[in-house]
Amino acid sequence: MPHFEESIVINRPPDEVWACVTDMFNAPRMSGSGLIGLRQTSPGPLSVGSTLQGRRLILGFETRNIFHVTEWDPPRTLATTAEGRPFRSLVSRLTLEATANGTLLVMSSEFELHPAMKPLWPFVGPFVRRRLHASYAHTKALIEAKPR
Amino acid sequence: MPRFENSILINRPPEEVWAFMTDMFNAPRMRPGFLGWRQTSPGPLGVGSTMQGRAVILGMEARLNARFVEWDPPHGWVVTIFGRPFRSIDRVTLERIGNTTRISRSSEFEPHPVLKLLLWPLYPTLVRRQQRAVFENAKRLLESQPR
Repeated sequence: MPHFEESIVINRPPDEVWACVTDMFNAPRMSGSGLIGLRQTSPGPLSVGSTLQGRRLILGFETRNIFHVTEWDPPRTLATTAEGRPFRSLVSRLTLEATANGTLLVMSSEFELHPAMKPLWPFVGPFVRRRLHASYAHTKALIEAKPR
Repeated sequence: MPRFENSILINRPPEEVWAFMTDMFNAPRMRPGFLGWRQTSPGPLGVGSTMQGRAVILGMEARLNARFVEWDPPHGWVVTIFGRPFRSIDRVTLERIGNTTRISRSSEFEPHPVLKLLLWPLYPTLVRRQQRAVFENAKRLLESQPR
């Protein structure tokens, strides 16, 4: 299964980083191009068991994903599983750790692609990896651009 | 303020068009570069409801604040939008024609003076093109949904 892991230090305290990365309104800004939107579909505040609906453009096609929150420990850990094309399964995890310079944000994801997408992965994979890398840098820039 | 008019016929009944157009989750699908709207007032959308929006305009992120001043499902709404790049008043009407809907928008649009200076005389064309794209995308998305 493809596995991605990226970490980045954001020059802001964990509470501030957590508030930004868990505000679904920020998701399209942080992901760069591709993510059209993410919204909560379960009632009440986000917690374990909450569901989210996402829309993403992949190779020009709109895909829909349903996310389930499986870990919710503010301001330290957020984990989700997702269903929907092009994934057969997708598990993502965010961890935040206070450091002397701010917050170490570690993002990891492990996924299995839909069988029809698997032959494309050797070609698409490097682009996805590059885009994810860019989105993490973008997240850092967005959070650090906010006045203290 | 300059006024822009635009309309399109959508092969779906007004109720369906209304539901689609007033679901703010659909806004970025209709308008490329738009990052999203979120409601900032409590309760369902109606007269007085407010929203916060974000859009990328000329490569820069702009924040917009909107307030509904008329709300008449499924016939139309009027919304005022204020932001750094522009302010506008949009009147959207939905008219039933058989089993289809004519959706029309009339916008009074005033760009920020600096933007107006930089983009004049391009901005009326840009606004018209973008508004037409929004309706064309709405039509494409709505008509691709199974009945």
